[in-house]
Amino acid sequence: MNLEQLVEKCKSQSSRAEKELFFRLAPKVLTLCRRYTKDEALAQDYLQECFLTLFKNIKKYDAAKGPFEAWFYRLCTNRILQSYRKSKREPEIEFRAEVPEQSLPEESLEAISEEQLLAAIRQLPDGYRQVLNLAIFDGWTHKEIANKLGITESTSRSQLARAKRLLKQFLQPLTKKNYAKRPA
Amino acid sequence: MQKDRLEEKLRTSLSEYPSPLDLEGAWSKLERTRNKEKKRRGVWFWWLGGAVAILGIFLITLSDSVEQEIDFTSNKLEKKELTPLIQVEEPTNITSRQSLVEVETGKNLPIDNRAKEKVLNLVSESDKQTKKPSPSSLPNSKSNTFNNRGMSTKLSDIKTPSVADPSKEDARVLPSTIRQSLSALPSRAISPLKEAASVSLKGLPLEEVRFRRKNQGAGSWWIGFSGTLGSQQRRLEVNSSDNSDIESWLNRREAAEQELEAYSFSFDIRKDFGSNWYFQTGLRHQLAFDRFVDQYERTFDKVLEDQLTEIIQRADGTTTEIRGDVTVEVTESLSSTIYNTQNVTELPLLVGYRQDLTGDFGLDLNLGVLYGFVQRTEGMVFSDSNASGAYQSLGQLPYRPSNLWGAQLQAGITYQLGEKWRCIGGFQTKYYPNTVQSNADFREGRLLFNATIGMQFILGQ
Repeated sequence: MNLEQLVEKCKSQSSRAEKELFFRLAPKVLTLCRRYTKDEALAQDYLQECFLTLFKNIKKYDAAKGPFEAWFYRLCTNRILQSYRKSKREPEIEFRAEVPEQSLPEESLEAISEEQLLAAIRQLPDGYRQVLNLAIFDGWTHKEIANKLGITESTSRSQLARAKRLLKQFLQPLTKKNYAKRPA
Repeated sequence: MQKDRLEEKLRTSLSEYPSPLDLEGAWSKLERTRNKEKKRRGVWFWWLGGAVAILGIFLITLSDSVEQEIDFTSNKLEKKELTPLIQVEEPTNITSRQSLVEVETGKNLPIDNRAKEKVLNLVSESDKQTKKPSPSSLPNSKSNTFNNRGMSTKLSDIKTPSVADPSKEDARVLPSTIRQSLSALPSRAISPLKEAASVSLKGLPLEEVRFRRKNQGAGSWWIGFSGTLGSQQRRLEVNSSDNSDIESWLNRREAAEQELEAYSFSFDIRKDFGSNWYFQTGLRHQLAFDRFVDQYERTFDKVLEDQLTEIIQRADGTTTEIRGDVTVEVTESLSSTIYNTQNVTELPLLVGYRQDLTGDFGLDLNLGVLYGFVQRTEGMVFSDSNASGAYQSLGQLPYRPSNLWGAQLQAGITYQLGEKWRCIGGFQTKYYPNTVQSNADFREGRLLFNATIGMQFILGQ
């Protein structure tokens, strides 16, 4: 059964189809959730909320408007940002020193594993991480990001630039370590 | 180019990357959450059912009270058809009386001499035209009793107005305001003797009347409305031990709070047990306001990006622009006023005690538990800031709708307004140990002090 057929069955509230859909998509959605938070338990909560929202709203999905996965990931992103806004406490005010531009050799990037990349992203401050995720993974424009997060477009741009610089800083020692590990 | 490589690496590596996950465990957790949500929807159903049940009880009680039995002690006009107590042959030659005798009884009412004369005339006229049967000559006269609200009186004990001595105490409580309503139903003609008998029923001994007045509240149903106005105190506590940042944040929030107000409006249903004790329930809605002012100031080095910093002119005439970050010291200040509202819908279950004081005044005390549902609305933020970029104020508490328990203690003074109405005023204290979800990493207890005022209306037994 392909994904579209599965979705159609889920629309008719088939419990078996819902379970199959969950099994098929949950690992990838968990990656998405983990990208947005450094807290592992919170990522699991986000995963639950994403699927609860999906099963509540699955009838609203219109196949003519695009592929299901894109629609669902957008739904997940919105749900996560909403949950974040609801649960946020003291906003993070960053007093970071300016991060110098780092250079990473192309070969060294290849040696970095997915978990290492994910860990580096999760180390970023909340604001940077959100902008980076929305801009790079979800393909949002700076205007969309600005509207969603309540910031200006220039802030979005500068946060993305800083996020990348900071990410490279985090990845730098990994590349050296991985290089050292490589067989001669 | 380097940037693009990093972006590409991120996209290719993580877009399709499946994180390790215990699928069965996650699925069963999801199912549990869904079931809980369904149950929560069920709770609303029960709330609605409860409200309908309360309304139903209220309506039934109201309809019953219309048909309640004759109350000897009330001043109301009786509209109930009198039950024939003695079968007496109707005198055929009395045709002028076509109106229903409406009887208004009560203590300390002025004696209406005209009415009294009318009754005496009626009886004497009846004596002339028909032979008045003596109580002993009536069939089953000894067993002829009437029962009204559990009080049994032998017919033979009844004194007719013709033998009542106006100077005696009994006569003072006789239906002094017997009124022959000319507008009454013409079909309700009754014989003078029956009339006299029904009249004489009202001639209860004064002690009896006093006894009944004292116990009029026993077993009665009441409905009422009340409102409260007051202030609340909030106690914020951290649940877990490793949340020092939350603790400091809660402390800051407590310090910033300026005013906490609460209003409530409730619909009460009350049932009296005995002459003093009662049980009270109903439905109450409470609206609480939090207002706090958050003032914040910070000084930091702001980075102005993409600023021209230097132009280098070389000997060969070429120039190079060097662009980079420029840092300037900036002081930002923010002053925000935030209003939050908290809606509580609750069901009080109260046990109370009421003691008569002098005159129409009484002392009323009640104590009980409250069960309700709380929902918090993040309020409007009024900010005044010189910050150039996005800069958020003190965050809102992560409240979610949840159920809550509480307790109430109320003391008040009641004042009787006629036979049916009673007003009450006093003070009320309420305490909720926790108004947020139990799994939140902080607790919020509330203590409320309210002034209360209300009205109560007796429906009858």
